[in-house]
Amino acid sequence: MGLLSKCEIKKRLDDELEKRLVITPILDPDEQINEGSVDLRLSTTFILTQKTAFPSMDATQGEQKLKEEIQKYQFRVSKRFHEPFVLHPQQLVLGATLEYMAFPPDVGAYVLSRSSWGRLGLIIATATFVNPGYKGCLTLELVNLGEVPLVLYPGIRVAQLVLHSVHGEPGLHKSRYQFPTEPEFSRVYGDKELEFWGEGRTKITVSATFTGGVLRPDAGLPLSEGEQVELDVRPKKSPL
Amino acid sequence: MINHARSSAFLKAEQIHEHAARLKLLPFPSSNPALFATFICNLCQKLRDRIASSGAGEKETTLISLFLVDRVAPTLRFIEGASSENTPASLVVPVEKIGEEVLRGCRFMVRRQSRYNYSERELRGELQEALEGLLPETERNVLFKDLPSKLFAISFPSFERDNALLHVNFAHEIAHPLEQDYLDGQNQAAILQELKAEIENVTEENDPFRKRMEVTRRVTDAARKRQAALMEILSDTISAIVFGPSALFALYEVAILSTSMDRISADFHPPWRFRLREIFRILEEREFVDPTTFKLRGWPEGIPDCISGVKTEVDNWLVKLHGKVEDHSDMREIEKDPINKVAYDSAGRALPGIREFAAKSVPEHYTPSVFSEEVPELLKRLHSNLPPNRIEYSLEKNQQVRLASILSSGWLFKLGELEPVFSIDRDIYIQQVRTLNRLVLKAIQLSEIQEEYARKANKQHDGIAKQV
Repeated sequence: MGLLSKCEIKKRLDDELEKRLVITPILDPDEQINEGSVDLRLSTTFILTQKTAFPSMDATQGEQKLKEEIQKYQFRVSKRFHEPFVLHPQQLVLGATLEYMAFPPDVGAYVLSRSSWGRLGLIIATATFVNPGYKGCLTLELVNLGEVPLVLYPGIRVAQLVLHSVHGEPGLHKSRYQFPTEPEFSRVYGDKELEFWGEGRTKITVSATFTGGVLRPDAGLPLSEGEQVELDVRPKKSPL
Repeated sequence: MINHARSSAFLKAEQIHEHAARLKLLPFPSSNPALFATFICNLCQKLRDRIASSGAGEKETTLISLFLVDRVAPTLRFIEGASSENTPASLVVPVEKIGEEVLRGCRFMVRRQSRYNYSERELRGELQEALEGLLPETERNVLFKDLPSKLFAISFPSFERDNALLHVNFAHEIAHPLEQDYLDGQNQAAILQELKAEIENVTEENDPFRKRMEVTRRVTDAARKRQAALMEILSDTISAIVFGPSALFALYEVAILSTSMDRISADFHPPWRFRLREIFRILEEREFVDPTTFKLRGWPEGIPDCISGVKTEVDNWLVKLHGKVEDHSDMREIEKDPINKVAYDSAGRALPGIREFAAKSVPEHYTPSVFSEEVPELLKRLHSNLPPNRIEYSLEKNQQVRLASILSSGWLFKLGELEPVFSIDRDIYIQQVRTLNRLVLKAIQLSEIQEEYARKANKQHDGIAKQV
């Protein structure tokens, strides 16, 4: 496994379609293709967090519920080209690359922040590895670690793709994200083992007798005094 | 009482203003919805001032209230439905561009609607007309000066937002405002005279007075049906000129929702079979479809296997559809009614003129040679799950493609490669159709920005060259 040089990247980009490393569009090849990497641009759609809707996000609560909660927890915003998008300090936003990519089975990649943006506090892509065989736009996790809000514009070069060759027999690429063209909501619910790890806390319930006063909504309403209720006393976990 | 009417009208103007000001802040794919929202804000402000001034009497205040409630408030839904969230955002600007090329000086706003229908509505004229008498002319002129001469809202069925291929039908709606230009160029009196002569021959009534009454009624009826038929055909023709075979595919997708392919609709639209047959004829005339085999022309020699399957399926599909539309059961249905027959005989004679008018109205025609050059290459990309945004022979050698080619490749891929999957695995079919829509919308976005970026780069290059 070795890094692809500029010359090799260009060669791969010019291969016949079936075997080609596709990165489309490369609006400015001279600027975007560097020694060992390709600069990637920001696309127009963003997924933002709606912090007030949830006290925490617990990934172990079962696929259906988690799916719904993630959709409520996050929402999409679209911007036009030339229109600003402001990323505030400590804010996490999902964006996507403008470029749609297709990796041949013998090429993988890492997505990194561009250092010039990193120095302003913009960090991208905590999920950095791109599998060989992947097709689609890449979701970028954008975080502003700086002190001041950053004004971003769709189309600017925020990330770089460091490409490397993969040795050995290529396997079939499987992804839970099928040919995405926009940032994708988290699909952490696809981890089948999550419920196993969260099992201990989902089973704990206690019986209690209602004696009036304030009721937690999840205990079930309406209740009269003296009625038996089951209360869920699961400890709160920290967000993922 | 008068004070209450005044405060109520004032409040309405204020509330609509507030709502429009909020909507103006939504993200939109183009500047037109925000422009219209700003206009509504200014309009409400003017009316609010008018109500507050001592000049507005009781009757005028009531008229302003009615204008606000009946005319202004309903336009808010057009703004809301035009937000990026509610529209196929990447398609909006290209569609607006087509509209602005066909109808010079007009602007468009694409928005969703709850009804399952594509439709078009002009917003400026309606408001301007209704506002006469409510504001002095000078104030109206100031108010309307920032709006284009015509602002059309083009609506699509809400839940079809991501169905990029179906939105080929936008071209049909864009063409509707050309109807008046066409009609203005016709000798309406001569047409009515011709209809009258034919209807007199088929009206059996001995009493001369009754006969005259009946002929008048029937001529009106026939003229309306004739005109409605021609106007729909005009729009279909323009759609075919702009988008080529995709116009046929998209129209058929709407036609299959009808319970009858053979009847004239309640709003006098011609039978679907008639319209589809006419589009077929246009595609044959424009050499997209072979008039003897009814298959698509323009496939290059030696197409790869991945595309030859698509070609075979699409050809079969076209031959089947041609068989359906050439059945002429719609004409048999029309001929049962002598008025309908007169109307459609007359419309038939006008069709060559319609085609000629349509061809002159569209500045850029989609041609079989462009189709032939671009679509097979884009199909290869779709086959590899890549967006059909560009022909990329190599990094240095790549080529911009037309919107019509992107949509054509999408349609051919759907009909030729995905439709057969439906009978094998419906889940996979749904998944693949979703992917196709995503790739087509992405391709439109990329194609637009590539063109804009290249234009800018060329300008800079020219600038540098001049400096040197």
